[in-house]
Amino acid sequence: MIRRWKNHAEAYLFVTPSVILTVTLGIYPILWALRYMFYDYKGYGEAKFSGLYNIKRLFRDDYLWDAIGNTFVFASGKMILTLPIALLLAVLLNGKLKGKNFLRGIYFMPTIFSTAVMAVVFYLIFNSYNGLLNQILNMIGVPAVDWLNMQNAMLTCIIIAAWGGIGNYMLLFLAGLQGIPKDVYESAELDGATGARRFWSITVPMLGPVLNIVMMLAIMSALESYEAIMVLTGGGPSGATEVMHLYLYKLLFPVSTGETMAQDIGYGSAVAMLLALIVGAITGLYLYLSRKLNDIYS
Amino acid sequence: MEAITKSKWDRPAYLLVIMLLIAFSIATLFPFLWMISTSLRTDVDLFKNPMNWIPSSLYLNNYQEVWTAIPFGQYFLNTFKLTVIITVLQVIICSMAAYAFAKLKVPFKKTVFLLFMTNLMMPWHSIMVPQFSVVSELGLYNTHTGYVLIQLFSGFGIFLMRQFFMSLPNELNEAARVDGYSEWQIFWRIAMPLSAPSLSTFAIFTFTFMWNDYLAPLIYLNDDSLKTLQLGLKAFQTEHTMDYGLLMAGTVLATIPMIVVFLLGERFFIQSVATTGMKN
Repeated sequence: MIRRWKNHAEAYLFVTPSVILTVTLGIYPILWALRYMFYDYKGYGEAKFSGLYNIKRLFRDDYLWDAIGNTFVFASGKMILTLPIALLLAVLLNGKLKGKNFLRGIYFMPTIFSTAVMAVVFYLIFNSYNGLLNQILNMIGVPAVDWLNMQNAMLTCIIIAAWGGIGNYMLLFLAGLQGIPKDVYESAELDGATGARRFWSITVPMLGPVLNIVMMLAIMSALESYEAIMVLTGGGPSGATEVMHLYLYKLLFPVSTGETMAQDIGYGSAVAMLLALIVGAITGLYLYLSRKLNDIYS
Repeated sequence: MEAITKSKWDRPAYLLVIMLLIAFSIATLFPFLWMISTSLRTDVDLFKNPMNWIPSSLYLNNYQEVWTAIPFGQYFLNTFKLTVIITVLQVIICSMAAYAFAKLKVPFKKTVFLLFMTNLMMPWHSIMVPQFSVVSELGLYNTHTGYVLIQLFSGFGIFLMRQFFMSLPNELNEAARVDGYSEWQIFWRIAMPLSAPSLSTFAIFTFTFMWNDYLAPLIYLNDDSLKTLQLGLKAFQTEHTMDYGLLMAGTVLATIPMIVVFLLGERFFIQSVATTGMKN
């Protein structure tokens, strides 16, 4: 009995710091936002109760729904481009290859630069007037492309986001691959399994738990990232690259983005909760599906 | 036999792999090279049309001027201090919670885990306004303590470390308990050393993220003596004017510590995997 109590006391010791931090700086703010979504609050003066006004406004806000649509395009584009390349690189660099540490360093490099600064460099490369890329195209006789116009801006943002994300996921995949015992591969090799076969029947299943975390992280971060877009296009031209969290940021902190939007914390809270619901629903769906798949395989 | 084991590296496939890796390296490195090239130019030289591929003359002034244009040294020290403190504390706090979830009986385990996951799912922007008011109420606005406080919890870290601790065999804990170790001792002397690879991955992520964090310092730190590098670099990048040369020179300088951390961390990470050999 004493032993058991002592175990509990120790368990408390382990989780207490995280619980205190979560409750004060995570859960309490969520409750605050849940309350203020029913208020008319512009960040100054008194907050007035406004009932369901903000909620109704959500459904009338076409710009918001367009931004949500753009977010899905951006997030899926980023993941489709990032994850397969990251996994491929991780697998190649997990083998016996000379200079693999050096290459890992190179591929990880984009991660260690701030996205905001890199977006400036990419602006120098992609802008249509005297961007580097168009100058190169000119030299080989291809007409200049407007990389940041209505049609192309989103694709450009996706390419830049993928460039910044691959190293991250490569490192996570590598950490997972290191956990697969070498003898499994050796015995498969003795059985004559080819590279592709080994990949699908050993690497992927044994990477399972890591793959799960990586996928979840990738979904969430793809849905939430906007920093590069903010610097590169600011959501434009005419909302073509507006993603949902950039819009939320503009509602809550309009001054620092140089937008002519009015600060609206009440409505911002309502948008914030809707976006959290969307992110939560998608991650939840993913967790559910991955569990289902695990059940089928095992 | 020999022929079969060698077959995966037969020449055409090997060459293809090497070419792929090199092509990808070039694509990855290109923006950095352009960044370095920009940092060595005057703005006039940068916008010449047609452009010079190589700067017409190496203009090193940017690297000198960046130290006086902003308090670069002060910002650098602040960033370094905050990043190290946050990384160490965050890794310890999250690993502790993760260990409890993976190996101990925690009362209300499900409720607490649900709280953590709610926090993890909630995008930071959704709660930054009320979070700011909590920190202000505590009188910690415009202090390093306030900024550190909001960064200590990481749902992702708990999730990652829990996944790893769960893969450690339970027999290890039981054997240690029989030997009279307390859970606290098992955690520090057995679980943590064994999880060095995951810990260093987690630490590298936290370090890079904190080093480059811009938004939270912008909101929480106001005094010049408290500001971080990312805030300082932003000074070259205002609405109407952009000093590309200084911005890039500053960024190149600001990135050197990150490269060191990555090289050290990665070496450690590979070594520890090679020497433990205990996993699974």
